[in-house]
Amino acid sequence: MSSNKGVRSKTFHFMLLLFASIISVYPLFWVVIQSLKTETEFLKSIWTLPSQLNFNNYALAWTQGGISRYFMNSVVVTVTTTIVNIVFITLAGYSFAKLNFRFKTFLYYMVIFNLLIPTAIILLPMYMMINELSLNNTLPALVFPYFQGFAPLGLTICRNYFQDLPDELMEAGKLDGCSNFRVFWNIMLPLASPIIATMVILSSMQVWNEYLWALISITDITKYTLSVGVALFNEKVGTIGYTPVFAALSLSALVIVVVYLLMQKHFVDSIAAGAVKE
Amino acid sequence: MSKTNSKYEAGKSREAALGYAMIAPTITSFIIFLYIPFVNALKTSFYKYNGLGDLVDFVGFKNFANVLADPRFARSLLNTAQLMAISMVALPLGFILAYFLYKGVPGKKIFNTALFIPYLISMVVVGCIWRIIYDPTIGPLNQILKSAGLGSIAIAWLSRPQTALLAISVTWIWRTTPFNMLILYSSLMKMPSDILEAAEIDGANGLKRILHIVVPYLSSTFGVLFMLTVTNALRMFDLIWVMTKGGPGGASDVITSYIYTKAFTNLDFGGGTAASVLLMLLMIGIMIIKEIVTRILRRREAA
Repeated sequence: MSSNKGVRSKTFHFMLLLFASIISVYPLFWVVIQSLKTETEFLKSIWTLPSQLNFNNYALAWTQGGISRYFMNSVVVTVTTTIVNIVFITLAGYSFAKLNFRFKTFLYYMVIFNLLIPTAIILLPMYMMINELSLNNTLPALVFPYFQGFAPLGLTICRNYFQDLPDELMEAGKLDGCSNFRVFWNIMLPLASPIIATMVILSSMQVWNEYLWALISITDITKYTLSVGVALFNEKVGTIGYTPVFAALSLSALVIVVVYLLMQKHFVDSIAAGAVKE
Repeated sequence: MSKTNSKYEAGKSREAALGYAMIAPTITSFIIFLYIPFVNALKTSFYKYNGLGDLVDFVGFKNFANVLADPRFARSLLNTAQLMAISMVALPLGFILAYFLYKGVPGKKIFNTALFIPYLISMVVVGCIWRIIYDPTIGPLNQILKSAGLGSIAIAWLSRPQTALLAISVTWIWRTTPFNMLILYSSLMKMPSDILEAAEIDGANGLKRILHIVVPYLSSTFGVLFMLTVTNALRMFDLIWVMTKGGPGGASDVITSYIYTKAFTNLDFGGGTAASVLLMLLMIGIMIIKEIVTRILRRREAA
């Protein structure tokens, strides 16, 4: 009786998870399938499989659609921003966790405060600042605002991590005659590699997917990031057809899905670590 | 004695100097790209300004009056609140999926991976994909509805004022549920198993166990996810912009798309910053109310 009930509820759980998985995966799967068809095939029926694999749409999106350029721009922006994020935040996180100086709490909250400011409030002020400094269409116009977006979360998790490292390590280093900076560089930093890996993943995802700020601060089409470029390409569906757009969408989605599948555990752990209480 | 003391003092000030040096890049960036712009914005909201050149045309509170009288501004606030409320559905949905995964089913690993896919796709790509899904003729949704004999409800979801926001909400829930699932699942995995075993010995049935033991155990995780849902709804822009641009006629405008349109389509930066400042005041107001309410509740608890 009881085991019968158990089997029934297991079956119910299974069916529900199966249904939810299909809803989760099918939209992307459908787009990938359509991207491999010709435009006429697609317009004839949206449910059939491609009669033969056709990668023309990808070639079209990649070269004529400019996706290759947007892709490279996004790589440059993501790598540069992530380096800045990691260097600035690791330094600040250690300082806030382990060093003593005046106004420490106040300065810490100066950074964390940004969590309370919805993007909408700071958008125009930041845009006018970029204008004033004549930074439009440059790398710094993206890097520093992105740093600002990442800093509150990054600093919280990084500071917490350093705080949990025992002070005895610092004392031991100091007794050996290390300066404060040497203690950080030679002893503490090597121990921080897990949190740095987490920050690299969180920062890369955030920057790679960002849209609004890139849309505002980059007006030169040759400097568009992938998000802005794909959205623009999607607008042109009427003139270039659906299937090349599907190719562009598949390409930008699959890149992340593949990276995720390759390092699933790191991804999941990092995202879970990012959901912290402030 | 005094020698060691002064040596100690020197060590202290060296430590402080290093402390300041290590936070300097972060603080400098925040001053230049957050605090100075913020002060400038307060000033801009009192000027008629199109985003270029100097501030010359002082108009007093006119921008504020215009924004407050603009029905689209009120609409965007209401829409944001509505989206925030609807997006809460992603919390129980995420919990159900997480709990079933936690209870264990065959193929759990595959389910876990598949269910997380929507969260990996960027909002822009999600928006583009769902715009096609909702397309009135070529879109899969309406084709399914038609073949199921429900042709009468196969409408142009995104170009009707009555359905645009709702359609976007569904997409939003589709994209955010996996995140909630992942966080709740990783909290569940940390739950001591004796909690559940004790309940089973007490004879609590399945639903009771969930409501009285599992959900309370997860209350702090739910709290974090609740706050993230609120802040994410306040930040929402990408999905709206890609799917409807706030249309038709402002029917799906949210705060961010309203401010964007005002500044970059209507070239009214004064009005846009005035709307930002009003939003800031609203946020401060909400926080003060929240603070007062928590204090009253705490006092009542103590009494």
